[in-house]
Amino acid sequence: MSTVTVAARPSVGERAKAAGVAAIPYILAVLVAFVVVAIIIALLGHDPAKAFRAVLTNSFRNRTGMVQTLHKWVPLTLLALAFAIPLGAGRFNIGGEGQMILGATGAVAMGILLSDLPTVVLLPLLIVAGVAAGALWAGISAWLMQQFKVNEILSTVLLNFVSFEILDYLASVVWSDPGAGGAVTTAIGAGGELPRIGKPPMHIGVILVALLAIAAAFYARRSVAGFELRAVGLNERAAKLHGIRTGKVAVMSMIVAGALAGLAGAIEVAGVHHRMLEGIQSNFLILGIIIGLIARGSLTAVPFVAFGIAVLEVGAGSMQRTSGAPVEMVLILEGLILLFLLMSDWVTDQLRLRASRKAAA
Amino acid sequence: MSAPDAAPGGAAPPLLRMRGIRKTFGPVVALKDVDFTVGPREVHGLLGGNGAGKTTLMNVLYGLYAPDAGTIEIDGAPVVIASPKDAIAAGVGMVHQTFLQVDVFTVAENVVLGTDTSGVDVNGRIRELSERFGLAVDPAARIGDLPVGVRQRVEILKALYRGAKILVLDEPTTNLTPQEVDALFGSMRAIVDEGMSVVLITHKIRETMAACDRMTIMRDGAWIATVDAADTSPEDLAARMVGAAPASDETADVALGGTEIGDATLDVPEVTGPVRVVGSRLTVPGTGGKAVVEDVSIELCEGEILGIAGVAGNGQVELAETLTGCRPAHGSLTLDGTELVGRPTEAWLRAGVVYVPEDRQRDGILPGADITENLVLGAHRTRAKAGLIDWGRARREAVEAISEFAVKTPSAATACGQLSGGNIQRVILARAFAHNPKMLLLHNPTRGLDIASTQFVYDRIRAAAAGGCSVIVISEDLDEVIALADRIRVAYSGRLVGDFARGHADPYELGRLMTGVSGAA
Repeated sequence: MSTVTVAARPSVGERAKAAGVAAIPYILAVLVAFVVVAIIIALLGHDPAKAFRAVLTNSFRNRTGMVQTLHKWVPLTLLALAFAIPLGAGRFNIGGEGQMILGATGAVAMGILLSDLPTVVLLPLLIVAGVAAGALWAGISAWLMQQFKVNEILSTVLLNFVSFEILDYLASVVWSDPGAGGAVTTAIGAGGELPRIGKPPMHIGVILVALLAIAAAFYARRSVAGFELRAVGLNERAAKLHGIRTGKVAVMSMIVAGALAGLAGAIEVAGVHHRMLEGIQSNFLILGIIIGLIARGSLTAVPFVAFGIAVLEVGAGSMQRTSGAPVEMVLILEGLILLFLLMSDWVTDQLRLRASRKAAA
Repeated sequence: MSAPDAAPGGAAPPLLRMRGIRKTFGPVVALKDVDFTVGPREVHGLLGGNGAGKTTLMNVLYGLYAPDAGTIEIDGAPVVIASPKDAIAAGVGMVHQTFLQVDVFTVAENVVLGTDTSGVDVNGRIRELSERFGLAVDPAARIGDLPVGVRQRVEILKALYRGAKILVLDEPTTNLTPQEVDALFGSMRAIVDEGMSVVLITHKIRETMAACDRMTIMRDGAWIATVDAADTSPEDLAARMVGAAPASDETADVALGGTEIGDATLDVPEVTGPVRVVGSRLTVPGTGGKAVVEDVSIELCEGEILGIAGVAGNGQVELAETLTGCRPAHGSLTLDGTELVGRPTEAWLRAGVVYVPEDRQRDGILPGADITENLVLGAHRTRAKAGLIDWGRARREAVEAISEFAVKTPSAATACGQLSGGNIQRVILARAFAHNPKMLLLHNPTRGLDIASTQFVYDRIRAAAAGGCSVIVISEDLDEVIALADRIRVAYSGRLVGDFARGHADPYELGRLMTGVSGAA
């Protein structure tokens, strides 16, 4: 019998080469998306070079731009994780914005009802309430999915609509701020505000989420739970036959996702707005999905992709001011990057096929 | 036996002559310039292990694959076959392993499907064909209600109805009982007597010896030899099939598998030892009120191999999942006295119950995960420390397992789904044995494997039993069950029937039980 010892993994050089090859579709997708958007901007009668310079440099020109970008990066990262984690188990959480709104609701409830408490008590309470509310909201969908086989895509989307009404009711009736002239709640107590550092001030939610993102990436790679999540996503039947409680794993992934989205809501309240207002969810849900998909579900890649998207988002206003190209161009750009990336899968397959044919000939 | 001597260069041209057939799939050369000749009025065996290229060659003949090179002549005239339609027009009929039939249509409708029936007495013609060739079917029966053996007859009738001169049967005895095999071989003889020829694709030497006039042996996509049945012996065929591999003496045994069956009842001492597994009255309710596993009781000693024979679709998958804790059931199953029914699958695994499922891609592996991760699956909780998996150690152990189980792979980081069937099975077995199983259940463990891998699986199973593990082998290959098992039982319609000690099982008796004709209590 031939007993040739094989390598545990390919050599560092081979892995680097493979990573380089894997990066090609990403680079191409980004380039092609920029080219297409440049054409559109030019057709609209604006200067694409000027527009892109504004978009890409705004975050790095001064500290204000960077703080803005990082503040944007926080909910984007959390919402992308809230999409990517259930995706690992083959489940689709499209309810990130509802879970985020419920998180904001939990936080603002604590901040208003217990507004006199000092920071050491109120701030943790506020964060915990937000996380719990988000988890609970996602838990409804998880329970429906597990107990009654209700498709989680439908239940999470529909619960988003419920959350909009909850937000509207609380902001315009229960805790409405009469002076604000819109669906806005009164401010939370000072003890509920996230401390800020530096100048211009950055809330420490950024640091919290950075640590969380590192922990999530580590946990996904090394932990039993991360492995089980991956196994369920790769082959649910095989996972089940090898002792993994697949239903439990899927439910947990949804609840963790809800907790992260809820945290995003709490941080928006405690760190940015200090109140809850209509539209607090912004377009973080759709951007979170785009980030999760560009990252291809990799929790390690999510924070980096989220940073790139945050740069584009923050630069959008600056682009409109300097070049006149509308802010929507940025969303088109983001969508096209994803679209071309998905198309590149097909192109890569074709190239690989052709290469193998050539090798055979 | 009067083997017709259709020597090339004789007066009459052969019925079929394929010359220099070459077929590549990407970088893989599936057929290496194969020559294949079938004379008139002969049953020609096409013999070889899995992956030898037998089916590929016949798919070229049937127009399913376009060859890269080579020519085909029928009755001495060159033909171009670009599609099954051309093949049928040229007089070639083929019965595949999986039948393409419309379940809700009748037998007659399936037979004539796609032909012009105006002015044809369809039922009369089918009845005539079925009588002439001993292929008993009811033209009015619904296909979906018929057992595999009858559906196969319908496929043969379909080919004959379309005027086949050359009938290709691809592993036709899979899932047939010994009685049905005899009937099939009888029909093949009747077809040859009427002036047609039959190509029997098989990996079983016993079948070629029993049914064929001549045979062609293939290995690794190449033609090895064409011999008359009268001039050869099973040992000679086995040696040619296996080739000059280092372990060829042992592997030849596997190739021969079952040639001795029915010759004598051997007196082999029964395995006796402490009782390890006791299952009693295991039942799994089904959706339609009928149980999918019904009142199954088993008992296994340490080191005993229990074989469960049966035709596919008699509840084997459900039974396998019940006996390994993957499916909730009523009843009781104890391992070394510990009750396991009602506990989660993980508890069964921890107790030492290990399952090697039939569908390797769907149930056995995570195709997108690498070999290391697949080897960790199932043991990931027991080997974790503080909830974290030591992947460094896992990778080192994977390298050891790959060399011990001779998995052919570039590295341990290769995705499991990219491996061949035999290598996937080796990964699954490596994982199974890493659990130190006390009870090991394997379902169709060698299906689709080449001879060397089959031999490897048998060796491992026997070694596990010798080490005290109780083994259950559920297989649709009766020869496999007879070759491995100390005791044999039969799965029929969700139940277990019969109980025979090694050497006391008559294949025909087993065949009756497999079709539900109760003989033994």
